[in-house]
Amino acid sequence: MSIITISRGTYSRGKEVAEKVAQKLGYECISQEVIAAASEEFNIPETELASAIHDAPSISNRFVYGQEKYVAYIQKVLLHHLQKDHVVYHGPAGHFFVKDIPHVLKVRVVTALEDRIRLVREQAGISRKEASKLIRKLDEQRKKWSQQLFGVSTWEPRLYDLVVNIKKNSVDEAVDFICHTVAIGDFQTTPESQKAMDDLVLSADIKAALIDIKPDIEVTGTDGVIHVTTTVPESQEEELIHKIDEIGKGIQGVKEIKVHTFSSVPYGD
Amino acid sequence: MAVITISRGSFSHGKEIAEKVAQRLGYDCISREVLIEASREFNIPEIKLYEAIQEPANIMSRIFTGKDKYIAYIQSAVLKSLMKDNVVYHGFAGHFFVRDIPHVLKVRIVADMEDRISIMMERNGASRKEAIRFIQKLDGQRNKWSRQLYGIDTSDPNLYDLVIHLDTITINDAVDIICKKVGLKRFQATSYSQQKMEDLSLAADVKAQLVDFKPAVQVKAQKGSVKLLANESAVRKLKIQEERRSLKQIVPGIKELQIDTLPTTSTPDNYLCLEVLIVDDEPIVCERLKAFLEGDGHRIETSTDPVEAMRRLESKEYDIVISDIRMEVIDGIQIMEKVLQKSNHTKVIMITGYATLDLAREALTKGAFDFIAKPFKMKDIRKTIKRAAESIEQNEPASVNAAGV
Repeated sequence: MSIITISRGTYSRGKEVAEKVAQKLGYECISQEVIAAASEEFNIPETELASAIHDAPSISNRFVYGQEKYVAYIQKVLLHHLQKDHVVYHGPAGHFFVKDIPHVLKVRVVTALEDRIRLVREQAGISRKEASKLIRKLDEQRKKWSQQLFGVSTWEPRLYDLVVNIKKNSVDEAVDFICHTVAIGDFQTTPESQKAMDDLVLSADIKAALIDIKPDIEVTGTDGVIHVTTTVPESQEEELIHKIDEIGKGIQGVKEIKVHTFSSVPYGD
Repeated sequence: MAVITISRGSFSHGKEIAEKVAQRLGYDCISREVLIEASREFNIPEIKLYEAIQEPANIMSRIFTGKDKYIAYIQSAVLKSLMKDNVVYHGFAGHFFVRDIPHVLKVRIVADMEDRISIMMERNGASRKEAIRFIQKLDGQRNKWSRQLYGIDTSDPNLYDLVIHLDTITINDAVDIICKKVGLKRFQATSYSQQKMEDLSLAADVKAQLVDFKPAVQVKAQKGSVKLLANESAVRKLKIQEERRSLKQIVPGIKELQIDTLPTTSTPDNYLCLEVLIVDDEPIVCERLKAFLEGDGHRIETSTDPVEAMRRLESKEYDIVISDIRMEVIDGIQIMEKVLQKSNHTKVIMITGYATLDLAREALTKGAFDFIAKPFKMKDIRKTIKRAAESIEQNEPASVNAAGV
């Protein structure tokens, strides 16, 4: 049993592929639900969350960390879904959140530009020129988004186990193919890999809880022993460590919090 | 019956996978042998060919045109060996040479960087730092090379049917995946795709012979008939050369040879003569379109009776079919369905009135290339045909243009 993440460009029939794979394997298929659940849990409008995970950060963005905050929330909710196993997730960022979990088959679906233009035109009824402009803009945005938040382009093939090129009418072929790969490859959930997943979920819980007080926070951990890394001006170090410790210990599953700080220069007075 | 090309970075297990796939399927596995064969045929030391394909064409090579020449030879040799079918080709640029041949399964293997580094260290006794630097240099070189020659980025996933990242997926899994994929019907050679491969190969052979010829000549081949396109002075030179010794004697497989002048106003890219069928029950539309498109150099047939048009479609394959959507007895959608069922390279363009716009969208979903809404301007038609032509050009006729290889 395993997890499949499907990343795709807009209008690339990724949704169709994901739904069919889920159906064939008897897995749950999730996508938008994650945003809805995060919206409920953190009381943030769905549109804002969706924009955080879809739009490229704007240069003049005053709330630079606002986006990372929302992404941390989405990450938490998504990982809780994936923790249950037997899941197909299609949508942005899935593969980033689980990049070291071996029982996740990470797939990217690409489609010829010509087919994507066709799909946009079918759905939106716009001219070819508009459609091609729209797609280019969305792709560009996505690349920037990924580069900014994760430091890597969505095109980088090493992010995925498999990149499948959907040519005309071969959605079913891709579905078949993904199911075949997940069956033959070493994607079965093992006690060790499930544990790695559980660790990841706990770290995401803590990050989502701490990101309000410190946006540039990194959280990793195993077996309930959590390492938190962040920067802090020396004068505030003690206070911050205390705060992190307090919040962290309140989260279920945490045994110990270890805070590692690097000193930073406070913004000018 | 299929061809597989495997593209990979250096130290990425590409060779191993290719060999295992070939063994499992009982196919030939080729790579370096191609170079040797090319070398023998054109009497060029293998090492020079190797250099030609390894190094990006730099400014020096624009002065010294050797690289273009060697690459033309390699293309010719690669295509020749792929024509045998049931072949796994790994290495240099295989997917470039056959990018429009439908029955070729194009795979790219991406290995884990750490893994590549350790292979490099092991094989060459290099330090970690050296290994990283070397791999980065090689990757950079290859990328630059393909960008300069073809204007494409080797890491662009759109170039491949499949990209496999070796990490959780092991080498044996990859072999399994590739073998399963190639078993699909769409990778079986058909007479059409086989013909295209032969055309491409013949064009490459001719191009290899003409690579020294200045100014550059564009070569097209279709079912054994070869067309050379060049500017006026080159055409004169070519004709003289032909009289002395015909290319037919040098390159086997040429049934017919034609030398044409490229229209001065057009670049090689938009020089096209397409077979077009226009179906519209209003004679005036047919006449106007015919007159206009013939002016652009296309061969036009018209039909005002869709039933009769259906009969014609039965016996002949057109490049483009332009059809009105609303007609008596048989409508445009039925015409389109017929065309698509008979031929997979014909582009169908629908003409639609405002009232049938929804029908036109439906046509798009069913495989129409595009639609044009009435009233239309002739230049709209021209633009759409140009795009359809570009789309056809990517597939057929097999041509080796002057700027490329």
